Amino acid sequence: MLEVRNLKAGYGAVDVLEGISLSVPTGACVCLIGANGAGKTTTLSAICGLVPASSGEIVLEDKEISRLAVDTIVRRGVSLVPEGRRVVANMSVEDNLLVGAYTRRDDQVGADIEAVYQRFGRLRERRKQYAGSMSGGEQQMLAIGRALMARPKLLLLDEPSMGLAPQIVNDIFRTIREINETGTTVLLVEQNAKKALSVATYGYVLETGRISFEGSASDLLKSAQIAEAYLGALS
Amino acid sequence: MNAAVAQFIASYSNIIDLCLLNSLIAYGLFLALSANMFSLATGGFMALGAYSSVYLTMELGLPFAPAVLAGAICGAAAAALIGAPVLRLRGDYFMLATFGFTEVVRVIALNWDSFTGGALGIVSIPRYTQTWHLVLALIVMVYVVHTLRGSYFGRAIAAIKQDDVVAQTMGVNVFAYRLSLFVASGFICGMAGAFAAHLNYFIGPGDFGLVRSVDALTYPILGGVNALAGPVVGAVFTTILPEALRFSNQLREILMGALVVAVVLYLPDGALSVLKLRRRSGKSGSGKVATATPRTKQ
Repeated sequence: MLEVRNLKAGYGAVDVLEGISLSVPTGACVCLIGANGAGKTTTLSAICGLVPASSGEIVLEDKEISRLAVDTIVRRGVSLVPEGRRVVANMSVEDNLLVGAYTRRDDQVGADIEAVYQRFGRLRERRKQYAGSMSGGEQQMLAIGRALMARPKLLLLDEPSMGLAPQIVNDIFRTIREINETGTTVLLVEQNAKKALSVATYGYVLETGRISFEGSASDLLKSAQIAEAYLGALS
Repeated sequence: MNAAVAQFIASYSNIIDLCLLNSLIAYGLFLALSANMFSLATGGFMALGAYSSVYLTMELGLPFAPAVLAGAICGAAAAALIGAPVLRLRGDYFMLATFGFTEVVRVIALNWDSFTGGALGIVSIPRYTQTWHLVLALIVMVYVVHTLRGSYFGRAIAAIKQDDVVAQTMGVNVFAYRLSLFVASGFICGMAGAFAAHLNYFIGPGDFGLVRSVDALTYPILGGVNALAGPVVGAVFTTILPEALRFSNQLREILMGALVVAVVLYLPDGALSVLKLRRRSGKSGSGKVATATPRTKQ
């Protein structure tokens, strides 16, 4: 589905990513973990085209996309759930979902909204409410639902656990697993490494703009170094 | 009764025309503001519309309708031309660049004597603009804006206004939207310029400068940038107030300034949000739970 090769990207003259390579096979759930400032969000932004790649390749379904505009990449089937949710606060829940379906002109939009409500019952209850007036967890559900409305082939999630209560985090991760199981390829960026590795099958560890480790989720969970750096030693 | 109304309209027809004209301009800015474009290009667009339409009616003897259309197209064309570079800028820089455009147009108008009459301007412009022209233009405008707001495009614009990065990641071509809105704003301002020229008997370069551009921005901001009626409320209020304060020339400038500051501070959604506040306090007074108005957060 997605191949990133030797990608360098950043803001202005400074590269945050110093040549990273990663691969997300079709149908997989891959996670990218790392500390603050490692370049996780920059990686997702570069894949979406929000941050220009200064060198390297981003290949989506065998086509190079690193020079394309954001909206073109979205139309190719990439949806981002941005860090900090960023729902459109002064719009109703339902209108947020409709904006998510912006790229679509088919008659299945209504059915997909229904599917999102099926998945997140809270959103149905609040569908006429302003998105900004909801709790963080509800906003996260809306952000995920909104991204699903584009019927993405590849779903990018940026720190979905940020600032949420542990119970809600569990719900969100269960949902991510369900989304992946129904056939959507997922690339998940997280600081909460333990949670991320519990849903992902493969993981990459990003450290100051470079991939320092990669491996299957179970290997990464076992690795002593990872444990010390990200999971909290001996916990 | 009817006679009284007729007399009222007759004695205040100038003010009524001005209110209508300014409301029209206000919608031009309303469209720009709906994608966060604080444009000071209004004066420039209006000048282009005014001078070109006057040239067509007075020099070439064209009828009024095509002249107005040509004025509007001139405004739109200028917006399309400067749009590509100017829309790359954000916030203050966008404002400065559009102000620069207005100044350039003004200086050209000041110096191109053969076409614009230079500093003396153009006099004896036939008064072709009728009140019903302005009413019609305004009704069409309100209808278009109303339809737009409820549409697929309206949702995309609302998303751009709040968070253009998110709008992009939903697949919205933000640049195309902003450019279209800017061009629409140029079209409306150009049309308003043509109407203004044929309403006033005289046009000069000073009519379309910074003051005009800032006033035009004030209308929708004062009335409300999120409400459909906001531009009309702001424009009518701003047009009538100076007339009501005619007794003191200095005071009216000061009062206008104070008013704008007060609205921005206490009613960030514009004067129309007073109604919303009343409704809300009424609700909580009767013991019901008030729905919170959205605050831009997260």
